[in-house]
Order: sequence, then C-alpha cells, then structure tokens
Amino acid sequence: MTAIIEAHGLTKRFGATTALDGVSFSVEPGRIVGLIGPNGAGKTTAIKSILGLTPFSGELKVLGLDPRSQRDELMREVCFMADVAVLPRWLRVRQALDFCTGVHPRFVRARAEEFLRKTDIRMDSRVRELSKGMVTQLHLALILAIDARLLVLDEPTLGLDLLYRRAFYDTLLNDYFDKDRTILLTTHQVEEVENLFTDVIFISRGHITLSSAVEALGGRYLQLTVAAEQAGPARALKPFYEREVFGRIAMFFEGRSAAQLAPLGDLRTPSIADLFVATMQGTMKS
Amino acid sequence: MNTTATAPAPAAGVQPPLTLRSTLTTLVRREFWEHPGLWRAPLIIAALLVGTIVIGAIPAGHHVDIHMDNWDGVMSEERRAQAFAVSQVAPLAPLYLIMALVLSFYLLDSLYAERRDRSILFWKSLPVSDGLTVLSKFLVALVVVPVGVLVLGTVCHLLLFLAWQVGVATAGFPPVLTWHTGLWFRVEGLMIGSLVLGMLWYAPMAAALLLVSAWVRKNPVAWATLAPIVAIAVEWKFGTHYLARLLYYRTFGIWAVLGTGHGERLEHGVRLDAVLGDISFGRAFANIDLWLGVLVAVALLYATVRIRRYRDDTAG
Repeated sequence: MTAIIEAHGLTKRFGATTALDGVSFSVEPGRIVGLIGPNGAGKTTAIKSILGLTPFSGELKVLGLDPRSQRDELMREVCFMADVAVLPRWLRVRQALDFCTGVHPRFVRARAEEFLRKTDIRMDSRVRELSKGMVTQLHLALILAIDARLLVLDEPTLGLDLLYRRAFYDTLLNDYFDKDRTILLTTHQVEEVENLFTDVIFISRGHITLSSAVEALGGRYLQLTVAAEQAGPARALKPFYEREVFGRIAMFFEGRSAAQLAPLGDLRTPSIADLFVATMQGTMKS
Repeated sequence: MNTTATAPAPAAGVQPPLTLRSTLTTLVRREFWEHPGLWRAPLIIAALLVGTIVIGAIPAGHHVDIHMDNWDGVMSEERRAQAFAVSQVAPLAPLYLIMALVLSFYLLDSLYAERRDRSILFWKSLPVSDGLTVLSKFLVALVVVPVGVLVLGTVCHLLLFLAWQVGVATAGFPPVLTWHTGLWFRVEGLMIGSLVLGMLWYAPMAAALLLVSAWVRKNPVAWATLAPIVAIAVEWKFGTHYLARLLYYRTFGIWAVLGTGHGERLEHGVRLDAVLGDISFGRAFANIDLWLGVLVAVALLYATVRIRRYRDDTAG
C-alpha cells in the first residue's frame, strides 16, 4: 500500500524565518506517528501544510492528493483536531451533530450519540457551559463518528488534567484506531503517550532529526548508565549525549552494538522522551 | 476501503446522501445558530408594530372621538386606496432599517469571529470549501434574511389591517382603510421587484463588508467605519469628494433610477396610479452601474474566498 503522507523538500518561510527547511518524511498506513519537537520547531507548520491550511513549497502528497489544490476532496478522508479551544463557544451539542451530519459524508451520527451517552454531556448544552474536559469529549465524539483514513491531532489534550488525558488516548486506541487508519499526533507530554506511538519523527528548527519506527529504535539507540568514576571507557565510544542521574551518568549511543556496551554498565533501550531530549540537546549544543 | 459506491453502508446511521443544496442549507442554518439576532431583531420590531395597534384596538371604555360621522365625504376612494398602499409599505421601513443595521454587523463579524475564537480550525476540519462557506454567509445577508423580512412585513401588514378594522369596530379608529385586492397585488409585486433590485444593488456593499471581515486582524467594525471616514476627511482637505459621492451613490442611487422621487407628491393630489406608473423596473434593471456593481461583488467575493483559504493568524 502506498504512503499516507509523502513529503519531499517541504519548505515554509515566514519572512526571514524558515519554519520548515526542505523536510522529507513519509507516513505509512496503519501507524500512529508522533511528531515531536520543541516549541517553534515547525510541528504546527508541518501539520498546517498537510491539512492545506497554509501554502508551502516542495512536494507533499496526503492520501495521494495535493493539499494545496485538492483540499476539499482531502478533508473528506482526513480528520483534524487542534487543542480543545477550537469548538465555538456558542455551539450547542445537538447543533454540532446536526452540522457534521449535514456537511460530512462520512459522519455517522449514531456513533457520536452513543459515545456522548456515556458522558455527562447534554444535547442542549452549549460548548461554553461545558468544562474543558467535556469539550474534549465532545470533539472526540465527533471524530470517532467520522470514518476517516487519517486523523491529525495537534496537542489534543493541552490543558486537560491527567484523568481526561488518559481517557482520551484510551478511547482513541481502543475505539478508533485500526489497521486502515493512521494517526499523526503532536504533543508536549511525550512520556504519557510514548507507548502509543508506532513511529516517531523528531523535528527541530525546521529539520527532521530522527524518523523511525519505534521497534527499530532499540537496534539503533542504546542508553548506558555507568558510575561516574567508570565513565572513561564508555565515553571513548563517543556517546552523542550524556547526563548525570543520581551520581551516575546516562550516556546515549547511536549505532553501537549491545555486545560492545553491555560490559561497561547497565544497558537499555532509551525511552522516547529520553531519546528526544538527548537528540535535541545533542543537536542544540553546536 | 469502504466507498459508498461499492459497499452499501450498514443500516444504522444511514444518512441521505449529501448534495450541494443540503450542504448549503446546513451552512445557512449554522449562521442563524451563531447569529440569532438575524431573525430575532426583525421579529421584535414586527411584534412592536403589531402590538401597538392591537393594544389600541382593545376597547378601553373611552372611544377615540373624532366627531366625524361621514368619513366617506372626507376621504375619497382614491385617498383610501392611497392609505391602503401606504399601510402596506410602511411596516417595511423600520424592518428594513433594523435589518440593514443587523446585517452590516453580521457581515463584518462572520469571517472575523471564527478567527478570533480560533473556531476556524474546527470549521476547516470538515469537508466544506472556503467558497461554499463564504457563499453561505453572503446568501444569508443578501437573500435569506431580506426575503424573510419581506414576508414578515407582508404578514405584519395583514395583521395591522385586521387590527385596524377591529379598532374601527370597537375603539373608534377612523375607517380610513379599505381592502383593495388588485392594489395589494400591485404593491406586493412592486416590493418584490424592489427587493430583487436591492439585492443586486447592495451586493458589492455586502461583499466588501465580508472582505473586511476576512481581512483585518482586529476590529472589523472600526475598519469599516473609520477607514472611509478618514479617507473622506483627507479627500475633503484636497477639495475632492469622490469617495463620499461614491458611498452615497452606492447607498441610495438606484432608488432615484427606479423613480420613487414622487412620493411626497402624493400629498399634493397626484394620483396613486401616476406614482405607481412612474416606477420603472425596466430603467432600473437596465442601469449599467447596477451590473458593474454585481461584477465588483463577484471580484470581492473571490478575493474573500482566497483570503479565507490561506489566512493564518491562529499560529501557535
């Protein structure tokens, strides 16, 4: 099957600043991809390009379509949710359902109603009367009811408490995701969702610093923890990043074999969050 | 992939297929959800108009005593027909006035509010083109609400007429109104014609307000009012009045062409027939400025759609 998203030399400039500098990546179907980067790295710009919300240069195909010229067609099969604040405050729950039913050929109203029945949200409530968590539930209900091939989530749980965040991702994984669907997700709370991802793309200053399937990370990156006084031999193998943790030193290696590192200390596959920090710090040291 | 063409959808939640018309209907409904003032304001004015007469018509013990037993002698049939025609048109004046006000604010807000509260990101997550969205707002302002107000004005007149007749019977209202079916149709046709003419004439104005709404970063109302005022003032300094004249012309110009300049002559014994006969839709609809304005409106709408397509001030 062909890629869901295919970007080649994707570039976006705002005046003198370059938000995306010739970025290339691809997203395969049936994956959950984390697009991870610090603020201002170009995450949102990349997402806006994918959704045809902003002009760009370079080559970009989403579901085989060009988001610049075929946006209307594209949005039938792509679903998008930015952070919780985008549902208009005057909208009533019933109106939201009416509207989606009236404009979206792939919206299955019964599915949204079924999900809403499990919440405290009432049909005649306005968005402004709902708590932040409930607004997210409402938006999630709308998304679950849309039979889309690609779901793009941009900081969907920003400002929510832990319980709502957890419930959000559980619902997404259990009730929505399947092999025909692809999810592209940006978030600041990497630690919380890293078990969700099948793929990660790290982005920094408009460049992609890492793009890999999660299961391939272990073979490529290793985290070695050694006592401070025994750091010398490990350091000789050129870790690209190291940091001190409770008097011991955690070193991050790329492309070293486990057999080579294992005798020197405690070896493990780094978590995505650690790896993210390591690659960001590594590239930012310059 | 399940496409509707190959695999029929499961029975639960099956919807009638979406058409351009059903989508547009949904978009128009959406506008009334967001701006209930669009229907509330004219309805309140109409209720006040009818209410005033109805309350007057309720017998209150004392009759309005005008000491005139023979109205037939005072008012000729011609005069009564005039009064009837005037009573038919009159309710529309306050209704159209409030409508113009409400619609101006509506147009200026419609593409600005969604950027201010970032809900544009929600609307744009759905498969609705920018063109259709802008068109729906334009149609609400130029067609849906004005037609609604004309219907409301007509209903209003019928209720007023009825209340007046009740008032004649019970509260001593002067019997100055008599029903003229032929005249009613003639005046109604005239109002429908004027409505269509007004839609075409005010199209560029409505499109310009939409453009401002889609364009400015802040305060569309201030832009739409202060910018022309400042421009007119600057022009004044240099001794020209082009903009002021243009705005005045685009506000009132077509009605002079239509030929309603004889309204005041009704008072001075000009026959109603002459006044009605003086109104020439042929002349008005053949007016070149009317159609140039329509072309300008199309261009402005196109620009508005382009701006909404890529306008991005929701960047985080």
